Amino acid sequence: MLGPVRLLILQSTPFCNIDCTYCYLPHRQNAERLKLSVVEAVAERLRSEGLVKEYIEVCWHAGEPLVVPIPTYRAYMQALNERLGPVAKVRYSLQTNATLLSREWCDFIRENDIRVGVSVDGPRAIHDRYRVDRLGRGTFDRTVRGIELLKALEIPYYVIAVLHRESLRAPDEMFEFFQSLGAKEVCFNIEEIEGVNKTSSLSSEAKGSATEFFLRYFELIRATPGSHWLREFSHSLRRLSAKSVHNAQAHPFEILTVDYTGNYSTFSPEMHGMSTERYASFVLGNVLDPASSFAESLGRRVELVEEIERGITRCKETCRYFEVCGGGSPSNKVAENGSLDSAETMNCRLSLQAPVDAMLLIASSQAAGQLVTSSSAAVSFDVETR
Amino acid sequence: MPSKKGAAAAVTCILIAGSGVALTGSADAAAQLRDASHDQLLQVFRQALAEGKLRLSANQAAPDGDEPKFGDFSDAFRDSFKDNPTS
Repeated sequence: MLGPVRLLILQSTPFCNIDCTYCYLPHRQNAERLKLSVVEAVAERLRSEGLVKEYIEVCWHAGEPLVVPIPTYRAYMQALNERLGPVAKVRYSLQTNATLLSREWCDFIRENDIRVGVSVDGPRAIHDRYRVDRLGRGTFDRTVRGIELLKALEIPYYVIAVLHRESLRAPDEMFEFFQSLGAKEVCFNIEEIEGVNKTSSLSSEAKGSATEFFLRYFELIRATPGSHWLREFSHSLRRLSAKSVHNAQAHPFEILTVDYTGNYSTFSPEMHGMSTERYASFVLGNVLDPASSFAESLGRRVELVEEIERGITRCKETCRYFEVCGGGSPSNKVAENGSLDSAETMNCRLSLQAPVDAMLLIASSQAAGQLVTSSSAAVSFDVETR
Repeated sequence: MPSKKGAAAAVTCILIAGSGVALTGSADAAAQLRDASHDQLLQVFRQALAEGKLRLSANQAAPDGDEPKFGDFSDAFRDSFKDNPTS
């Protein structure tokens, strides 16, 4: 079964106005833009092929979206709303470095209820270590200026911060920074080996450091009333407590990535720009090509589906975290192991296992404390009648 | 403060709370988690969950007042979870 598409990533441009040294995206100096005809074709095909139901999130990503002018987005979104609006609730989001945010952008974001994700890695020294412009200058001040504008206009945003070697050593500084920034929601991604980023400041041996980082960060969240929401805190507990974890990146056409030329792919969005000797490209087709449907194009690459399924089976057979994971990210398997038909990656160890382990350690120590001090006023007790 | 509502009452404690979720567990589950080795923790946790000794509360105001995030559209991108027994 294909879809329904829950996340449509549209690349309004591959260009980025800054030049982060760990970025996985190729062609970041290419200033071409997504054509309206591509947007119209994507929406038309999604509707006619029945791949959109109930709701869909459209995310402007894979390049700096604010490089493209607001009137162009108005046209894109009108085309999407006209075609998808009758069959689904369409919600928009964008992932930005915030350096180009202006009053006009904020008005547009508010007017269209666009969810804003800002990429900021932490305090100045940590952020500027990798997030630089083409002259090698740090972008911290420009990013924070954008965030301050969002705050001044009371526009909600969430943070995506890339964890690298330097940030793993500084959980207290990271926590204090995001608190002082006034961030309400924070998500951590690890510095991955993916796409054109062939190395990482992290390594598999960093799992202990990552666990220590999350352990301390989780403790700070627990100890600080009103602290920001942290995806890794919430998701680790939810993963641990779920009967099963759905792996959207492994399900055909639950995620659809379309680049500025109309080329499309599914599974992990990061696979879109990747090319390997084994698989060549992961692009399935072009939305402007009327010759084949989304389903037919995937049918021609059935080996991708089969290998992803075999990889998940391999995870199930070999990894004790499978029940709380769901089988890992295909893009990381390709980038790190060279094969979709593979199991554990560094990304698994650092972004999933480390926070889950940290949460288990907290559960264990809290359990010990609760049992010892069960009469203490510091312990919250409730009574449940079963 | 602990209290009882008849013989069937089971005392539960909040083990972890924050970021819109809270984990509560029975005294039995707490003892199992306390006594488990590092390598056993995941299995012990999952077993206690399956036996109903641990429970996740979410999609409601957490003790620290954080916003809930269940059902968020962005879960497709951030991650997603199905069949959560307590959601």
